Amino acid sequence: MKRTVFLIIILLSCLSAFAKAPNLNVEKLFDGRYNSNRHVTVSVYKNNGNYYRGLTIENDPAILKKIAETISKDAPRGFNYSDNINGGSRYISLKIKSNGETIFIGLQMENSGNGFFFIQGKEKAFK
Amino acid sequence: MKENISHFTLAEIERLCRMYEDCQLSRLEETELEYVLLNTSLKSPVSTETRNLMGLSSKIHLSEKDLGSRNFRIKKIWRFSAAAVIAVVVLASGMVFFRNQSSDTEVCYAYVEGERTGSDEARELAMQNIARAEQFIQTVDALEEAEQSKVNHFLNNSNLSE
Repeated sequence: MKRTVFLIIILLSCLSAFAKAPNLNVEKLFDGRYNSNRHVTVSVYKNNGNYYRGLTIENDPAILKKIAETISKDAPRGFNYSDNINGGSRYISLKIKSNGETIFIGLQMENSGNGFFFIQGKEKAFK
Repeated sequence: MKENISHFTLAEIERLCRMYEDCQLSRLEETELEYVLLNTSLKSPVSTETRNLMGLSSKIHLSEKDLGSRNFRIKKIWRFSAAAVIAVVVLASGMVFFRNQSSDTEVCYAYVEGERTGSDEARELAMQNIARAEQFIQTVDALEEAEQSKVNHFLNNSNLSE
């Protein structure tokens, strides 16, 4: 009986530690800092278990640089990171496993200072 | 001396008490008699007198009733602990279950050129961006595949040249 109770306590501790929110650095980019920025279009969508957040940047290399640096901070947590240049665009991609689901993070940067950044995945991955 | 004191009859205990009073018991036997008198429920004037001679009345001993109360308290504590643990497990499981359930409420908003848009426009913009994100993922997958092909080709040529 004592052994059973002790085992339940251990399992409970493991269970509570297993499921947790990812708390990514890139998520903090959607804290409202770009809502009033005329060079940035902010898009947030969550429905039917799907989660999407995106930024479309026009002519602002500084923001693109900031986003690229933020992605690099989360890169150690990912299982797939790539940085490719093709057709004048730079593609930075990061995939992170969280709560059994995959979070896709992408940044497309152009020399003109335009860019497209997104975080996408199942809602369960962000809980 | 018998190992199980429950096998002692009152007559046997009284006989041993008289032997104790007549100093006919060894030290070991006196100690054993002391143990018997402390833990037996059988009593008589002879055993009581012997108990007083030994000074056992001032010694604390565990009676069956005390043992029973103690066991009952221990069982009560473990039952309460087990119930508390089960309640916590059920509560935690419920929290994890509901936390992993997707919410039915749609969340959709957008800011364009510093201004918040209407919900319809936000939804349309989100759908366009989601499609763009899917295309991005496919493009990156294709780039990675092409890069891997180059690497494989290079390695194959290296092996052939050796």
